[in-house]
Amino acid sequence: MAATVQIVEKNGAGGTQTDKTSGTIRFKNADNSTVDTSNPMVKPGAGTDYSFEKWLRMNVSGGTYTEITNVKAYMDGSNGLGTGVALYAKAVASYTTPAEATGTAGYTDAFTYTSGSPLTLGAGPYTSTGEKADHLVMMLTVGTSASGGITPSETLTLAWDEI
Amino acid sequence: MPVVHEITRDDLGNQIGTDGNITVSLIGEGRMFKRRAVKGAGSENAQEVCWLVAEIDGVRLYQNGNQIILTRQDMNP
Repeated sequence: MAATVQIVEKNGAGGTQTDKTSGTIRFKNADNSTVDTSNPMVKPGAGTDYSFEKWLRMNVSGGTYTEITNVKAYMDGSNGLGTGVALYAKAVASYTTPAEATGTAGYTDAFTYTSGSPLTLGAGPYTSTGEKADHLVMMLTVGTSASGGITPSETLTLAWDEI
Repeated sequence: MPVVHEITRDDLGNQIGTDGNITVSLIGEGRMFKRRAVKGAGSENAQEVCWLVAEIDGVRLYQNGNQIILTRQDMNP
């Protein structure tokens, strides 16, 4: 048997979960998990437009397993979001209501986290069901050189060891 | 539904891992675990991956389908 694992997006003061394992995560200028064109990122005339934070976390919803360890996240190493669009990430233990980012301090370029150098979210061991490991907090920036429209999708991987 | 390996122990305590087609046996001391991942998380192209990992003294065998890698490297899907 194996653990049934989801990647959930958390929103609002209470951290309401939405299963995003195979659902689009849309970076926008609002704290919600809805995949729509409301509250879009805006190409600025000067400076940078920062998205609201996306708080993502591993959630074990069921299944049978002994323990999970070594939870990590990484990208494919190449920013395919287009010119002027950047993605940042960090690991945070405790949830706070997602806010609009105001800078990149504390974050790292998400595309520097690769399969060979992933972002560690927690060593574990973790057991039972529920949310596990640190939150993966991500935010997106749009600069003046960006093009309009919806960006191409990018590949986020969440990995873990399990027995 | 992706194939997730099953890890069991035989009567002698050896660790046995299988994906239903290929069986890896770890005889004696060492550890065996599954290295699982959701690739493309947060998109409609999400795909679950499971590697079987057997490790003895820092040398790891990674098995995924018909591919087997023997290395000291810490590899991820």
